[in-house]
Amino acid sequence: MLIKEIKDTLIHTGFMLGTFVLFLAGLYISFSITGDDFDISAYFQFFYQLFIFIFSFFMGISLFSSEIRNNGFEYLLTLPLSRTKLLIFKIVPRLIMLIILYGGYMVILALSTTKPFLITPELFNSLYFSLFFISTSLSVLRGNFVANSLVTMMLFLVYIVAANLVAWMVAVKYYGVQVGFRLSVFTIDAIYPFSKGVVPVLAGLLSLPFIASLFYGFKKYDIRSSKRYLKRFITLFIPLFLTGIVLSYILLNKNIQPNYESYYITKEGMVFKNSMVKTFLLENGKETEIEGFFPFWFRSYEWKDSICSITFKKGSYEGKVVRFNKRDRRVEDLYVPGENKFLSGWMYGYKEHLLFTEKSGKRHLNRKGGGELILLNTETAEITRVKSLYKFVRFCGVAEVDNKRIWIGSYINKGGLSVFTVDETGKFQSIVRSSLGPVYSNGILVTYNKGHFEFGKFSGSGYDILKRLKAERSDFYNHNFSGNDLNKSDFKYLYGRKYKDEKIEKFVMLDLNNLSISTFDPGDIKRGFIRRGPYGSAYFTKFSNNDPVELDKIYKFEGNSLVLLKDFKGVKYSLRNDFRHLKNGFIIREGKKVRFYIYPDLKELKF
Amino acid sequence: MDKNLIEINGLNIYYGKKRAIKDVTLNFKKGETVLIAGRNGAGKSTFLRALGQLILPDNGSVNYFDLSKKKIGIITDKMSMFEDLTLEGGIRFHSEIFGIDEFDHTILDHLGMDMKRKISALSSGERAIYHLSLLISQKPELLLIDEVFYLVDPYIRDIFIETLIGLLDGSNTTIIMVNHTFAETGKIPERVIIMDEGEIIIDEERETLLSKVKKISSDMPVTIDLPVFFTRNTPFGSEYFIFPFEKEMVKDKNLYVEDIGLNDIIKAFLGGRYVNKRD
Repeated sequence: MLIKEIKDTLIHTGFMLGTFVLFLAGLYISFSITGDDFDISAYFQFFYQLFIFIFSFFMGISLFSSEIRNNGFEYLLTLPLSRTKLLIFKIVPRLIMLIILYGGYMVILALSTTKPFLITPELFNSLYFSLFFISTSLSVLRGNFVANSLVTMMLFLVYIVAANLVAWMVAVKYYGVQVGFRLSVFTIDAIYPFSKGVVPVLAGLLSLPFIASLFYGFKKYDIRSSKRYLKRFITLFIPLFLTGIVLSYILLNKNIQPNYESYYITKEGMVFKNSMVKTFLLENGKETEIEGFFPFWFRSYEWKDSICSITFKKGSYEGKVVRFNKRDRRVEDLYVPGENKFLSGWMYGYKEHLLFTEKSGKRHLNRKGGGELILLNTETAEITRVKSLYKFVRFCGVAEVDNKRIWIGSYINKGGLSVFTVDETGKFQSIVRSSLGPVYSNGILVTYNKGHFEFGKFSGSGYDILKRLKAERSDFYNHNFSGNDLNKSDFKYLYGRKYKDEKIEKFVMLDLNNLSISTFDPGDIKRGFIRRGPYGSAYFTKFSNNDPVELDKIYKFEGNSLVLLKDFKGVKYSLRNDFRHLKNGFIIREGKKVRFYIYPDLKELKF
Repeated sequence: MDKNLIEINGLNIYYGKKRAIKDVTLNFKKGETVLIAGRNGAGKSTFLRALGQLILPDNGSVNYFDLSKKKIGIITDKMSMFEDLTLEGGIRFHSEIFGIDEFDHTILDHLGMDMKRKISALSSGERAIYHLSLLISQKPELLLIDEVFYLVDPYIRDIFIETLIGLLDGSNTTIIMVNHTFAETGKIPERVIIMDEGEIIIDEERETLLSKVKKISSDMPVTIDLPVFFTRNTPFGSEYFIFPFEKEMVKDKNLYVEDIGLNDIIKAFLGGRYVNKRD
């Protein structure tokens, strides 16, 4: 029996693989004829993933198809095998083939230079095997194949919805909605990156009822109508599936291990690790938990001995502004929003002042504009409130004129940005329009309008444009990153990249002393990105010329040249590894090992 | 032939809400040959399939004694082996799974069947005989045969019957068959079960049944009180079928009492049931 099933499985697999190869060959030929660019590796990966997904469905749903088609059920049931053994003999060869083809998928992923399509291997794994179990559980229904397939797909949908629901509930309960992800929106993207083990637990507990109910139903399976099987199947399935939902919720809730870890490096080289629930200070080879403090780059601001940060309570929309003292490690509240109000978005800092938005309502997802901009003096606790009518307000700098501060920001308006100012009294004024994010540095406000860079200056009489220079907007795609530390206004140069044939042809430099534009040669650099660092610095992260996901070197811009800071050759971006710039440094994560480097010279930090 | 091979207790089988088998309790002994008869829809095939575990009891039980599933052979009119196999492949598969050391090709050779043919290419009759050859090689201790005789031509039917008789002669196999065409099997059964509406209405040894069922033909109405279960009107008068018959009933009554064959007995019982249902 087993041998027959193995043969059947091999024949089915051979047939489907043959069809798949012919399909790919046809695709290849058609692309060759049309002359389109055809990345066979990427296409193969995508279609192979699709193929084995369909394969798992087909293998499941066709478990008894030949017996159904050929009136072979009566004969099958006369065989000297128990119903359970019969099922095992049927399922095992197909399951092994599924595992082999999944292994092929993993090999293809390992060899591929492109990232997995659409979903992670872990998630694909759960969908792939679960679909097999779900379709298998309905394979004994002697009805219309199309109807069975539709029912299978509906059950598969139920499975996905249930899995997402549990993951979502756990994620919201555990992490709350404070983490910047739209958790209240029901999407897989919002859920799965959050914790290790979610996918296997959910897949196991929610697909087990299908397979257990199949065995339970099949134990009393006979040649009568499939309704009897279905009745028995449902009798076990419904309580088991509901139990699976509850159990997975309890298990995940209890054992959830966050895999999201963000880091924050202070100007002095203190390193904080956040798991979105807890914050640890890494020092002297150990991790010390800091309660009630969550340094996240766009909500935290360092000034003198303190780090101010908007910190959310676990599982809550409610956030407050706290101050962490770097010396005594104490955390204190600076601002707690009023009842039925919440803090949202970024928090900006300039010297002793913080600027953040407070909105009304209970829901975190109140993404409408409005609310109040709050200007908080951290030394005097003085508060100035400015009514804000705009969505997505971003600040880029602070101009000091006649000992008074002018906060410069922008908001989206009519397909571009309107640049505005707010003074210390709360007076709000629009000044210019820009199609690039404005930058305020070296006492100059840089905006881009109608194909020209405009350089302006604030004075006692207002704002004046000093100069306009024609330039390509796309060259400066990266120049507008101001961050939330508005003290970074001592940049003398802004840098951009000019591309040709997907390679960097030239670096472009805006000189904020002379208000001029110049270019310089990139040498052997072909790929990479510009990143502004502290202390008026700008950095260039170079990728390998041969491999676009391999980190190569980090340079520092000095005038119109690049100075090599560190050679990181060989670190590849992958599912396990990544590298990223933080506010005051750079980290490389290779599996569990994390290395920290601090600006300005990217010295490695040791604990 | 004393030991029970199968014991059935309170067997109930449903098709949806309809009870196809109602509280059936009986035993089958080793080596006996049983004919199950009944009207269409009486539950015969369901009962037979329940004995072959193709249908599982909803209530009650079917217990086997010293009988492994390898020694149960069942053949039904709807049964087919895996059609994508060749005859040869089917024999190999069946032999392996049922542990048959030596396959008996006698019937297949006799009919000159090409072993390379696919099972799907066989006619219904050929399929039945092919399947029978598989079962015979299995040396079954219990052979269950649903109505398959109508599928085969008279020549194959003879071979089929001969094979069964040969099996009876050479072994202690229990054969339980459902059949409408009793003429062919008339001499085989030792026990006759008649079913109606899911119930066993007659369960007798063949010889007992033959002695207990009599026919009285008369051109005048019979006025004495007799257990008539079926009356058939003919152009020459009426035929009265009596069960259970005892000689004392007609002593000195000047009635012509006839012995009748199994075929007629069963037909009379069926007729009686149809009349009862109609009236």
